[in-house]
Amino acid sequence: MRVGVGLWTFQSTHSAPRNLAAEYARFPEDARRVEALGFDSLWLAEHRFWYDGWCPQPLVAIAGAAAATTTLRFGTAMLLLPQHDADRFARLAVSVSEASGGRLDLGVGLGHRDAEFDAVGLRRDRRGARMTDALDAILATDAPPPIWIGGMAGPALERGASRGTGFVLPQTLYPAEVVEHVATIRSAAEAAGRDPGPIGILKDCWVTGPGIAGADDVRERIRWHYREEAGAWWVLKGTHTGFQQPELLDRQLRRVYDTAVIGDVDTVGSSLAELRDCGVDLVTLRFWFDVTAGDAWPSMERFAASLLDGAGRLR
Amino acid sequence: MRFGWQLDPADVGPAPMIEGCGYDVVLIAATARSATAAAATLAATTSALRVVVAEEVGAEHPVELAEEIAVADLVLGGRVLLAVRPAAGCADRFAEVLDLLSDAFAAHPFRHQGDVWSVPANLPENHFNLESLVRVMPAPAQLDMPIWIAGPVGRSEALERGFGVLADPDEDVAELGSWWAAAAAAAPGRVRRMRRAMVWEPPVVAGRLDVTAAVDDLRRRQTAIGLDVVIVRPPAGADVDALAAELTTEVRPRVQLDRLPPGLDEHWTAHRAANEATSDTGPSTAVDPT
Repeated sequence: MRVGVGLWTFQSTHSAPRNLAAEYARFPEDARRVEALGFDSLWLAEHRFWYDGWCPQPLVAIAGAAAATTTLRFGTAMLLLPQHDADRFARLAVSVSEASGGRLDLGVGLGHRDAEFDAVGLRRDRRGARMTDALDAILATDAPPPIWIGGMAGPALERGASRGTGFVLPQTLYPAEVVEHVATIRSAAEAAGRDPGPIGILKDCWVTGPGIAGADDVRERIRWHYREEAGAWWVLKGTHTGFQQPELLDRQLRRVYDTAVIGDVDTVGSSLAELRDCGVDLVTLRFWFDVTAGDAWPSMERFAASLLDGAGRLR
Repeated sequence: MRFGWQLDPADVGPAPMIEGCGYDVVLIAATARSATAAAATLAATTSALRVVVAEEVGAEHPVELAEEIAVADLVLGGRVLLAVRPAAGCADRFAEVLDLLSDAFAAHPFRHQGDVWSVPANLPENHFNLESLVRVMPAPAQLDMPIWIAGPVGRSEALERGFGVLADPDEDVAELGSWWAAAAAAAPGRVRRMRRAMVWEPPVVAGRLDVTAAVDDLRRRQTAIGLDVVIVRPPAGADVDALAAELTTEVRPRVQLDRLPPGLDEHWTAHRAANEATSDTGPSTAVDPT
């Protein structure tokens, strides 16, 4: 199972104010450090038009860091493909893939925030059709990068399975749900008459140890991160965001808390081995939040030293 | 006069050499490959070059380009400039594009209601948690994002807004001079702050750079239009390393001042001849004449 790390988002938040110019300027060096630790890949995420500057064009940031590295792969989990112009994005994706020597993994999602679509004059209810068009534009190029779809709804499964893409599962799945989703993805590929693409998953992660922030501390930081994100942005059910639906928000945060892989080397190692045994091909470990960035290096170093095999895979 | 070099987005490998030669700027124009992506790769391979990203605009939502440029500028530590010209059939919306780019680069929420775009659009099909104003984030690293107007179409917008001007290599120098003279008469204070750039194809004769002709030509442009940034577009098949070096050693020093002190030009010429005499390969060949 390949092991990547993320998610670099370049945020300056209420909890963790940062100089964004310094964050971007440091990114090539961050990438070199991740590569030196032996991880398979470094992943970014995308959002737009938010107070904290969450990176709206992760491929541009990747282009800068890819040139500073030689073997590290770069991925997006997830890039909001339907919000972008299909032809322009296809050129950008191919350009970045070529510039990186083929080291780009393009993870794409539908996007959920109406305001992002509306800012660029798009209807969110047409995101499915736009996703299809944009995927086909990329796949029609000379050298499309590997594509991973984030989403498990019927249309997303069909879209990915019929095109032989990979899939990225969300971080908040319980083990039994992972098993179920892996089976669903494989069935969808079979139904489409294609070999199943690789299956990836995001996982919030932290390895504890001497000189490293403790589990309870990190769990609380991550909860505050998701409380803000889900509270301000996510329309959990109905028409209101999380802050307006506190019970649903609390339920979502309990899931976040329960499904994070946090603990000592042995605890984290066995949880990830379980994922591998479920059929997961790639896990992107989210050490890097606005609330943990910088502090994450000791934990990532301990993980790498104990659990990586030297080829970017779980030992 | 600042010197720059035009690079193909599919091949920006020469950028470190260009920087090492002493050039100030590179220009990357979008083709079938992304100019912004190519520009961003220079963050790892260069440290001081300013990077002009040249785009045709109007066919896509301007906010998309604004975001790409802002992130590229952050990746490059504040070294980006944006040069724009209308895409085919989009001249009528050029002013609106510039309005939107300017709003997008500014660090405040805005609303735009134009003939082509509305930001936010407030589409009735979008329901949840919509905004009445939009803030394009992050802002570029630079507090004032430089925008140049490339080519003759839409040039009046440069004067209107105080943007720089990037002329094409085939534009008539006398006409350009007239334009600048009229602009200076109309808005002298604004024109003083505007950059005067031009893409330039150096004179190459029988495969060799004609240094005298190059110096004379640049001085002529400097006099006629106040040229202060020249972007070299190398001829097809040029030995880029040799041409870049020759321009920066033999041409550039000769156009930095209004005049050279007596004897200095002859001193440089004699130095070059001495170097060529001791070189095993003889004079450098800028362009393969075949």
